Amino acid sequence: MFFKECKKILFSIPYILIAVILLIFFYTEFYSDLGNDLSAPRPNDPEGYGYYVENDPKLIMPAATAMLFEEFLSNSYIAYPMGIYKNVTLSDSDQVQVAEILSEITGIPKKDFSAAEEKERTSSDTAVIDAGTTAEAENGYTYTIPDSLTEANGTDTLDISVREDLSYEKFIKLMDRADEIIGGESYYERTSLADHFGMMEQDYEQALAEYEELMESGAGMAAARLFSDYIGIFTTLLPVFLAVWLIMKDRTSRINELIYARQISSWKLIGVRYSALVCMVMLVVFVLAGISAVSIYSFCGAIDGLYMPFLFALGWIMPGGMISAAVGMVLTVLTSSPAAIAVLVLWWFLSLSMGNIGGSYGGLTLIPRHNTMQNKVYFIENLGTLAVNRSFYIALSVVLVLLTIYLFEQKRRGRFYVSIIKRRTNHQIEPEE
Amino acid sequence: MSALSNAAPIIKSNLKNNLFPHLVLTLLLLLLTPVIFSISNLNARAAAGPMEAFVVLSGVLLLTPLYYPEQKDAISETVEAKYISHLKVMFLRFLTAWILTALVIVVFAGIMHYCGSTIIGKLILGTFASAVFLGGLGMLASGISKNIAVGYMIPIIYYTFNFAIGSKLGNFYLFSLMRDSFSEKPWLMAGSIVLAAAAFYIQYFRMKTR
Repeated sequence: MFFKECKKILFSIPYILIAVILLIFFYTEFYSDLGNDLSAPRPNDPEGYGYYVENDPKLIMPAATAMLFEEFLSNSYIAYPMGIYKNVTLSDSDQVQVAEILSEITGIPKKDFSAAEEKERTSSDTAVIDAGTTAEAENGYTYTIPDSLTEANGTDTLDISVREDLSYEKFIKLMDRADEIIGGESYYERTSLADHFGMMEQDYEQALAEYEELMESGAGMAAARLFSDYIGIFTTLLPVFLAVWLIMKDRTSRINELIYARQISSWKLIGVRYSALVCMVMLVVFVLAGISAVSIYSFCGAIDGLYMPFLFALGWIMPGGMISAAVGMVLTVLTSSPAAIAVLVLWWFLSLSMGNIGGSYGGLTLIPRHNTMQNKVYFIENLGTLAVNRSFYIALSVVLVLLTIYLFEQKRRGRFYVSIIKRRTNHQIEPEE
Repeated sequence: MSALSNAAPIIKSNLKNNLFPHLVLTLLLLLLTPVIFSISNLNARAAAGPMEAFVVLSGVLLLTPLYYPEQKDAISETVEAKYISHLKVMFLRFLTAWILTALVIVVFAGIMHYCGSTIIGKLILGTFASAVFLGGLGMLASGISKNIAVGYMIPIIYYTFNFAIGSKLGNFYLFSLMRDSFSEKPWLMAGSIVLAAAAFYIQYFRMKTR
């Protein structure tokens, strides 16, 4: 029966779509990153050598000020309350407070900022903030005032450099105030200032040292982390469609009654179907893990750790697929509707917008992230957290499958029926008692 | 006039037995939007954020399940035995879903306008074009596969791909208003009509040839 279910899934439209989508995502996102990261840097590469985070006030202060000014002008502040992306618009009085902060940072009168914001709002032209490159950031930023605004301000540029006598401690306090006005979790939160504004361009020597460190610390594990990060995104979303399809197919083809009447136990039926579903999704993941292993070898000749993508597929990716399939099955059996799709898509959407993509595995996050080949130490330090997170979802999946079995059994006995629309169904039968 | 006879009971029945739970989900989506996005005091470009990135999903919720009832064999057989033209029923359902999608978008735009945001006609039209395009994808996928799960899968994947590889989708990029561009919207509108027509034809052909 297991292989029969696998065969049914293998030739189904949703399964073929899942395989195609994962393959596209694998090549467009993971494979290109892998090629870049596992190739040794070349001297004088015109594309540069990427960036690194430097907690340098000389870098952070002007860049953060320019960003605050830009967001102030458009009155559009990005924040992540509860980890969810939010575009915050401030009231007039809050905007005045931000103008005060900018004034304290730059020494420019508050009214000039308010005038610029007013003009920006009413003009069809867009202000240009010349941020230059991050390496030049310590020279400050220039706000180029659009032609239509120059009359009011009298000049065509506004120097928004940070006051030389402003200490970093005082600056942090002003950023705290800005963050509080915006509602928290903004770019100006003191813990994330360096991540957002301390980016420095790497040179060839730094890139080479980083590459050698990566090779020494294990390219296999680094690639497996990136593989799990990318593939885990869609393997947490897609199995719900397959689960809903599998359960609803019985209903739409009217074979529910036949299945209900068969001798096979609900344990066996649901258990086998769920196992077949998870195994078939993992089959695609393992094929991709195999391609990853071959790619790691072909890119850098590393042999150690080529099994890592398979190990990570089991420990990191599979629990995501399991919970997705379990939610799909339990809600479809419960409601006889595709409501599970709405629930999981929403959960997935919120989870994806939470946390740091450079490394977040904690709490109940549905989708752990580690979108870099670097940061091994942080990963090892948090491996326990990741293990707890993944174990939780395996356990929750088992509970949901048990619940599915119970609900299915009750439906077979005609004892339980929940529908979003209350209507009579032709498969309801009287209880045996 | 005779073509419109029985329209009211058909629309009423569709709303009650088919669209109602999807309408409830759509309202939940609208309620959730202000939690994720600011909807107050936005200029026209910023207002495109919540409309294009979230309210467009109303098209998926309202249009995808259009032919869901006929995917159940029992209902399909009953429908075949009815004297009333199924073509007419399908068209009325389609019209109802389009009007509801437009209504949802206009109501939400009205709320944003009340909250001090700048709402222009292009924003409403553009959001509607993206919404019915996604809905058209859902209708067609559902029609071809005869399965509602596949129907939802295609537009949701297309929607997520717009975040990842948006610029590569050319004239069929869903979130162009956030980049101050309206030129993609006529393409999306035309695409939605083609998709809906194809879904309509497949469903009608299937019913005829059973």
